[in-house]
Amino acid sequence: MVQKLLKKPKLIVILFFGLFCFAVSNAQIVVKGTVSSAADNTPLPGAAVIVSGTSIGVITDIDGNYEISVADTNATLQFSYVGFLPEEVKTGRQAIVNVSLVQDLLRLDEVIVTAYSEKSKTEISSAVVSLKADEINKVTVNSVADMLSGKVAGVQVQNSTGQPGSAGDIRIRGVGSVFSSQKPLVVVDGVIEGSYSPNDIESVTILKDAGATGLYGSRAASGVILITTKSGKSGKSLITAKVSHGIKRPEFGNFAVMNSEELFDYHSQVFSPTVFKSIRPRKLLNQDYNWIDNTYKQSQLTTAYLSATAGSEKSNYFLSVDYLDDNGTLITTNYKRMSVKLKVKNNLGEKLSVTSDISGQFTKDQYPHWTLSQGAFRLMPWDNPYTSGNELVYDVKKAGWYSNVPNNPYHSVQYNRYGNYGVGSSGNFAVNYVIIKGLSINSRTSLSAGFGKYEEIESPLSYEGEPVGGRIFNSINFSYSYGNTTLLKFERNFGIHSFSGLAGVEGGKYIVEAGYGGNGKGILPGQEVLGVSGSIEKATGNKAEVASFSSLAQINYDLSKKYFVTVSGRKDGSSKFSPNNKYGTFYSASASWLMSNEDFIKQFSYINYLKVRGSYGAIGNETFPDDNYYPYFPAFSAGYVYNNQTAYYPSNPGNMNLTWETSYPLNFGVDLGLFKKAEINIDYYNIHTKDLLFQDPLPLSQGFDFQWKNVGEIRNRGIEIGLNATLLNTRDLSCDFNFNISSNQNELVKLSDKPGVENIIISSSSQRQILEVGKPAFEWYMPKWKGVDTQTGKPLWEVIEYDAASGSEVARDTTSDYNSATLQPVGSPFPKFNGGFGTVVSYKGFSLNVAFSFVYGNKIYHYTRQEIDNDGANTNLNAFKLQDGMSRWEKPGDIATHPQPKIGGNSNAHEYSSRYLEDGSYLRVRNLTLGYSLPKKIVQKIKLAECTFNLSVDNLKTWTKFTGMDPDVPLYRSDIWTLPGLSSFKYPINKQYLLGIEIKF
Amino acid sequence: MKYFKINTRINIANSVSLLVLFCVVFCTLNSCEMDLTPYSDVTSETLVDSDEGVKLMANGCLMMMKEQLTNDTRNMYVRHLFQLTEFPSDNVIIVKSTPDNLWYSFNREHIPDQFNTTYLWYTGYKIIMETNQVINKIAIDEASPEKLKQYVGEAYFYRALVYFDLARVFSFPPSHGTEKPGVVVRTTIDGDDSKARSTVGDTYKQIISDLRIAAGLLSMRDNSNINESAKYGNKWAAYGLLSRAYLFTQQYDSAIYFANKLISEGPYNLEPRETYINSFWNSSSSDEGLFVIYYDKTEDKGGASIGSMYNGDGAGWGEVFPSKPYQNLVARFKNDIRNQFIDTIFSGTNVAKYPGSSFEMFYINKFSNQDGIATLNSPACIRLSEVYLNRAEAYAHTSQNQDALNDVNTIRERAGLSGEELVTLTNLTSGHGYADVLDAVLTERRLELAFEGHRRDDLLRNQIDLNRSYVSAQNMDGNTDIYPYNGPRQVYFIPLNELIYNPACVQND
Repeated sequence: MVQKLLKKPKLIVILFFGLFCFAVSNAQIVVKGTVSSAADNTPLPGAAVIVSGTSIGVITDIDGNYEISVADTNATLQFSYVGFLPEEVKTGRQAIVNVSLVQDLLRLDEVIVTAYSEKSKTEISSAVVSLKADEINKVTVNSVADMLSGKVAGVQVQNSTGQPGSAGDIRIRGVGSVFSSQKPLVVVDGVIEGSYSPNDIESVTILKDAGATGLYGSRAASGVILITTKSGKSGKSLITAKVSHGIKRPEFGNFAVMNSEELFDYHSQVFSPTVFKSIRPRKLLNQDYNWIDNTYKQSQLTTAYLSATAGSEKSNYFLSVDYLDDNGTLITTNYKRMSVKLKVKNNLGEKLSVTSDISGQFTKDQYPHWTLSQGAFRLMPWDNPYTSGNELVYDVKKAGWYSNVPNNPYHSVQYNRYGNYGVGSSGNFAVNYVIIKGLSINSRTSLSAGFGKYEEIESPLSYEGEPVGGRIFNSINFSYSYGNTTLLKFERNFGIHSFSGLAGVEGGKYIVEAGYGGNGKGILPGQEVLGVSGSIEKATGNKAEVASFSSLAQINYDLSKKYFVTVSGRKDGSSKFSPNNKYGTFYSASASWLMSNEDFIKQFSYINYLKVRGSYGAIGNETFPDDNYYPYFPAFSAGYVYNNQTAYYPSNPGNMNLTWETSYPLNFGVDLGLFKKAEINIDYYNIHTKDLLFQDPLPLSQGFDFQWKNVGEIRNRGIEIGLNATLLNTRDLSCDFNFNISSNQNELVKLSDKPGVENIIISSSSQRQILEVGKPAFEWYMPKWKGVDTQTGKPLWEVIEYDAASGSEVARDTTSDYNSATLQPVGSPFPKFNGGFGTVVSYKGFSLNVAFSFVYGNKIYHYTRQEIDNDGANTNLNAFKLQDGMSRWEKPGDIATHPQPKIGGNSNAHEYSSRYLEDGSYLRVRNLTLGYSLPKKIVQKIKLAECTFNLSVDNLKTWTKFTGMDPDVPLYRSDIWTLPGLSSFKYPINKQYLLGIEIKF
Repeated sequence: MKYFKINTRINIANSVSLLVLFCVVFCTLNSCEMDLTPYSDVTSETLVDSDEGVKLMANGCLMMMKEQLTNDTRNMYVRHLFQLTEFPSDNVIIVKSTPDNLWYSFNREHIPDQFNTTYLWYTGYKIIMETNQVINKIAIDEASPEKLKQYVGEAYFYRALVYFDLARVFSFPPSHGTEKPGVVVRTTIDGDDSKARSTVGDTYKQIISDLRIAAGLLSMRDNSNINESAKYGNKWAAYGLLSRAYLFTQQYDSAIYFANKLISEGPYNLEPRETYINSFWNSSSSDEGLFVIYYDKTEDKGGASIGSMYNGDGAGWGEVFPSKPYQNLVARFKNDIRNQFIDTIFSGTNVAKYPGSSFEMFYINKFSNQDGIATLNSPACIRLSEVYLNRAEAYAHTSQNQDALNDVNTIRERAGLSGEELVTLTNLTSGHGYADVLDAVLTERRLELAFEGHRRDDLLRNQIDLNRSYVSAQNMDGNTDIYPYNGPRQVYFIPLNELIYNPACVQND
């Protein structure tokens, strides 16, 4: 009985007997040694060493050392360690047995953090990917999103911008609902939307299908990312220190604007010879100021990280301090962050344990006025920011600037400041009580509060501040939230039948008070507090709340460790819907068959793991973009005034019938391990989303541009393939390779409340995308560019003529009249496939890690080019430099890509059309890291446990045809001003070189 | 086994207490208020429930004409309205092309997707939607409180004003045929998305009907003085707009009737010459501003203001200058005070040239200088001078020539002209070179109402071709450019986002 009970969690056995073994030892042979990793020779602390056939065992200490007594020279020692293949060694007469364990690629015994619980890999029936810190934290980044770039099939990460402090954006499995936020739910140590410092991450689990996410119900419509932060470890204390310093350079890709001479030549084509001569004197060629090089410069960043952990069996703690000072490549931009974290776990007796986790963070973010960030690309090389006396130009009109800008941005940045300051803290308290073995109650309460201040300071010495005698704008935000999850968990085995499960409730509230402050005018140069201003123009401030409540339950069953079934259900309430539509009930079920545990598979020795699995569920979604807390509410808003009186205006048509969007994801997957060296995961999914939450466009004459509605059904289907293989694994040299690829297709299945209407067209400014029933959703919708008329030099677009009666297409022709061109679907913003691959090569202490990511087959609308590659439409800003293969029409017969330039543009050729739609495919070396660990002997001499050096390079090289700065564009609608696949001016990404050292002692 | 049992028993007690805890947690969480409503927003039902609420809705209409409601700070109802109506005229030139869609008013290569026409249309209908909420949800009768009558009257006034603005920008005037498409007329709250454009005739019928109801309900907001009252819809401005509307519909007797009513009964007077220029700069103290969109001195819109394109001082761009024909016209009489609306910019002793161009610089200051700020101004949407000249045009069309010239001379005298500088039936053609009385009236309108968005309407309404045969950035060589009065690009395209989502709405030719 006792034997059977204790057999289960291996570690307990080991611990128990490890402590016990000295007591029972009597005059036996003592064997000592070190257990290390074969790959890099680093010691493995906590590895189990058991005398075969007995219950005697020990675990290795912090340096991987062990000491064990064996009965005689026939004894066999079993060495095992999580994540490594076990090994057996006959001791013979050896007194010292050193063992190096080979990494087990499949990690079957690995414990994976899943929704509300932990499971071993074999038990999981759904599409789940788990990554350990060492697989992802090579890149120095601000968020987990950037860590996952190119690492996981079905996960897409947008690099966003190079602005310091900005985090990448992550999307899992294509586009379900373009209008609701598609951000996956991030759960940190069980706390929904908890905060973390990237350095503290121990593991990341990505839940992709309903089987895995089902338990999070409505919140998990776009997948879930579970982050587990490091915890205290029992045993000797361990201190980790990491310092890194690096430089970064702005990366402009293929994008370039003209220099003085190029611009001069271009204008000579725009203007007639006489006009040109009178307004563009040749002396302009003596002036060639490079605004981009002087605005975006090489910059530096520094990070420092310190963590400490120690503990006994009763209690342990983990403490970390993290610091980042990141200077942006755009002059004056800077981001500083400091965070601290303390996690303490106490075992109060055998049954009760309490974990408390407290963290705090401070951030400071300086960013520039847009006249500087965008000005660099627009200002003309003929304008010099400095006078001949080397002073900064103040009045650009007097200085006779050619550029159509109101001021000299370099003059303003001397005095003005735009910044954000944030302080946040959160506490997370969990109590776990074991009622009886197999039944426990777990309650987790989280509290968090954030305080932020946004400020704009415009000195009276600057162009912006001068007219009002200097200006200070403050907006102060305060938010707090609380939540609780209380679960009853059980686990029980009856012979070959194992049951486990949980039931519980979860709820919480988020309250934000935002925008307190005002606009103060009349300050002295250098002053920075609102109170000193002579007049406060308008006080602002608002408040909003969101509440949720859910009850949930899950049951897991497994038979003979071969057949696994999980069923979960959840009822969710959300304050975002009207009183009648607040609650939704969701469920999921998954099943898997571990075929490699069947005898008929076991006979194939090369198959060491084979599992097939499937899942289905109904998942709700209630997320809205732009902090939309009351989307159902037909609202009139105040805030603006007229004649110093309150004024209410219609702000939201509201929709009392608005209700949960529900997606029904079906998933099939196979996990296959071969030759103990390779693992392949293949998943197929079909996600049918109904009652799509959609900003349904209205004719403008209704007074609103859209209304939130549940409009129809969309389907996403796709395949994901992941491969991990150890190509070579010897004592000194190893080589791993990983590859993942995914492909997603979407289709609008139905539009529900619009009989007879077969499509919806969405727009942002003049860009449009169409959703047509039965066709891929969100295709770009615009006039189709047909090049330049070789005879006239005018633009050509396609006209489709339709038969008036039947509506069917009769003919296709071209036109030079923009307004006669036919709006039509011209390509998808979504890639045909995307993924990543990488390799890790280790030789002795050296390791080389290269990670690639790729995207293929998407169309990007290059809005920046529309603005500055416009055939003379704007002769008072710099222009796009023509790239290889591009040419301007000059005379009849010319085959050109660009129409003849004319003042004000040539026949609206620069208006919205597929002329600016470009192939977005790319391949990028996302990261390259060269590491070196000092040999153990040297490390020990200087009394350290470990010492590693790293040199990493981010965004080393990108191959793409895209003419813009970065083909990595958002593939979702982050707000109503954008569309997926739109590339406009942005803070350029960085090529970053970072040298780091990590010491453990 | 024994051990296990004892353990279980102990835990039953514990379990009970834990179960209680569990229930407490459940109830606490569940009692969380789930029916949340916004802190700052209210429904229209809440607003129409009180007189004060209706007033705040009326304020909302005016606020929307004044404010920048989208991220694009160029988007402002009055800015687009004044630019879309004035820039196509023969009063102004532009010195360079610009990515701002206002460029298309100069080169006439309109597209349906212009951000300025789209915003004007969208915000116009947002205002109409708010007025419809007031008009449809509040029943007014004789016994209704005066305050409420005023606020509801304002709703009718703003609805009429916006329909009039939209009709001027997107459709031809009734003189081109009342069966031509006007604008989409919505007067109810729950109309279908799909709604056809009313005819021009019906559009103007709606405008006139709303104005007549407004005139009946309105007095002066909060019994204030004429300056404060002019910041809101009021009875006298309604009369003024009626004179304009009847001029458009060619019902000249009615135009004269309402002009008379305003001129004889109203408390407004023509601003004296001495304070004339300042009455534009600080229009809220003007004696002749019937209705102004008021900007407080803290609400300078800088580079987005109407004046910013005309005047390069302060935050202004200063890229649209008076056309040569207009400059020659106003300069004919040196003592015409209206010369003072044009500032010549010097570089040393020469007239300065706009950088990177050969254009001489002349700033127009009509929409500037409120409280001494170059880009701050509260534009008048209708003022008494226009009503005099509305009457003059109506007289001219009905052959009451002397009456017409009397009104013209009232305006000329105020401008500082006298003797032969005034227009008489005798010096009309010989001295002044006018073709006829109507020509004299239209020229006076051009002089007096310059840059206020009337010139294009005057030509269109009277079916006169537009002559822009002078140098401007869209015509660098100063070629002959005469555009026929009935040319399709005299009006703008209906915004594409109306056409896509309202299939019943037809595009202009």
